[in-house]
Amino acid sequence: MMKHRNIRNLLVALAAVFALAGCRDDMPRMQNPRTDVNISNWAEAFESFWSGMNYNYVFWSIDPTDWDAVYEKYKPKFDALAGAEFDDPEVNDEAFAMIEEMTSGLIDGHYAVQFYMPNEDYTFIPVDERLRQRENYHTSELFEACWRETALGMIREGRLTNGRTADIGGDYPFTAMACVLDGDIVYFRLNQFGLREHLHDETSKVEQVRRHYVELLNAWPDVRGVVVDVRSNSGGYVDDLPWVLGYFVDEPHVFMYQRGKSGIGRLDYGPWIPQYLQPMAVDRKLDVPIVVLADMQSVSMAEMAAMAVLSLPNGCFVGERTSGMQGTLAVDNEAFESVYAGYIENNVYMIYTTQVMSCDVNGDIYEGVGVPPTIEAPFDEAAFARGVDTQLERAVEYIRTGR
Amino acid sequence: MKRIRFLILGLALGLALPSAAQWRVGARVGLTTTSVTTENGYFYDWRYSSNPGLSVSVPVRYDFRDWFAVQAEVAYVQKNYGLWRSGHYEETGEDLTNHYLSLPVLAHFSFGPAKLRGYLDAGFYVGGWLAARREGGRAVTFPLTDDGLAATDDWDSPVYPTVSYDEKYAFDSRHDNRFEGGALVGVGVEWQLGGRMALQGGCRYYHSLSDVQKDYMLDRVPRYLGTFDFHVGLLFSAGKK
Repeated sequence: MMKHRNIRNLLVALAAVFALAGCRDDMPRMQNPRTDVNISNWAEAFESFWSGMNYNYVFWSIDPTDWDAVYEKYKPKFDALAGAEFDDPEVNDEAFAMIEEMTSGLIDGHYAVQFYMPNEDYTFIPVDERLRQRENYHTSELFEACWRETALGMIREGRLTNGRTADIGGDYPFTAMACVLDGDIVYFRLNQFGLREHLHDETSKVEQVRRHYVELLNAWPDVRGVVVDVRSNSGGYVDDLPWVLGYFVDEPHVFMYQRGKSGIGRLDYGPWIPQYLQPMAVDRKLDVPIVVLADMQSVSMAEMAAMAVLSLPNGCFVGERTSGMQGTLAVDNEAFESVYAGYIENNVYMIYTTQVMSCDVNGDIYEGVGVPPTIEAPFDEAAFARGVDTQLERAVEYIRTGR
Repeated sequence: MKRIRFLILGLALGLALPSAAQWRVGARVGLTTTSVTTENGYFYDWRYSSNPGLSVSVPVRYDFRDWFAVQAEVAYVQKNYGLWRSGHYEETGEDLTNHYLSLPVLAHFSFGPAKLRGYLDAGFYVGGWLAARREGGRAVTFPLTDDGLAATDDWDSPVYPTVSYDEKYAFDSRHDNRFEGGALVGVGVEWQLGGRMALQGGCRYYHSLSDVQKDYMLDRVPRYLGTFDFHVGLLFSAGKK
């Protein structure tokens, strides 16, 4: 009798433990939005889009958008559109306006969204609107036109000498210039980071400009400073960085940190990983000020170049606060497998978003706000009209005076 | 705060048991191995692995009968696991060393002859995730040469090496659930040595019922830890025989 009671007590205790052991939350259903081909209306599109951002967006730790609240607010509104398919332009207009509204505050400077609808492709790029609201807003096209005229004037005046230029048209016009300013400053300008595509091609004008830049760094007598001009630079390949700034370091130099996702959750992050500027062989090391010129239309890789210059002991950034997108990304669904975040595209929508988050060597994150300059020098269209590039003149003043 | 109050109350009740029977107190050390129960979804090649760890505990037991006792412990338990990618990205990932303080309260059932008795434990535990360390590797984004030397103009084979790291895990109060609670079961044998001393050896399974993450996002993918603890220990009788 006693034995039976013991066994009963034991079984009761075990049953209580095992009953509680089943009290775990269920796993959610997950569909890779890149392979989500069963989207036939806006209710399904919203679910896919929201979930894609929920698991793939890399800035949730610093983004002010309450993505759960977005779901609660917009889910019923999109559900109300479930009866209509994508061939009703009015419904499409209304639905895409909601997509714009709910993502307008996302901090990712690269973020853009496009929905492929039968009546039209709907596109939203919030950074454009954010930049338009900045004081002294200007476009990259306006800057480029002003710079060209002024540079030509400076060449005529003999201030810019010993130069080589590349000016390639097409969908992504490539302008590059390497020359000597005022007899003792090496000046290198490029409007995109696309050197990689021209490296080793001696016939390429772009490569010839780059090599001339290196020749000036190697051999121009009495260099007092270097200006790397990435104003209104649209970004490009990260691989270009050593070919622009690697001549100023002796060993791999930590210039920023990046971190990516380490799991599915919004706040699952890996550690901050140092990013290095690779040294490039050069005949002499210049112990002179290195100034990067950048502006509000300096984007992505151009901003990272500014961060790299700022990390140098003799580096200085003159110009305007940059655009505000310092992450890296690849425009390809396949890239998802390298970092498990970022770009998403399926047959209904495309989300253009960053794969990794960046911070400078001090740990400061400038995503969405832009890298601030050491010396503020705003774009001055009126001065340009008089043939004066005030930002470049401020860089020259810094090189001459150290202030 | 509520949890801490319950914990103190539970311990106080345990310590307030009648003194008619026998108290035992001891020390145990063990080796642990921890697995993670979760889903990878479409993040296909992430793989959780079980990593070894240590445990040290101080059990206090009150024997009501020769077959039944209640035991409370203060235990330090490492719940270590790895999260690594496979295939092409197999150098990407990390091992996490997690330090937990656990306070189990359990029913202890024993059976067999007086000299060498088997036992079975069942109970619950609460605890805290004290600290953690992460050690792993991630590839850099910006290109380097493979020898670390300055590149020349004909450099055409950049590499993106994996950078190793070994650092303290920085808790995020929005994300990390540092409270842990769960159920446990265990089996083992207890060998009565001379005098008031007994040698114990056994295995215990900690089945966490709390996610290592807080409930901070919609469609959160939960992660639960399960830890086997293989231990040996000594128990000393503190009361009358």
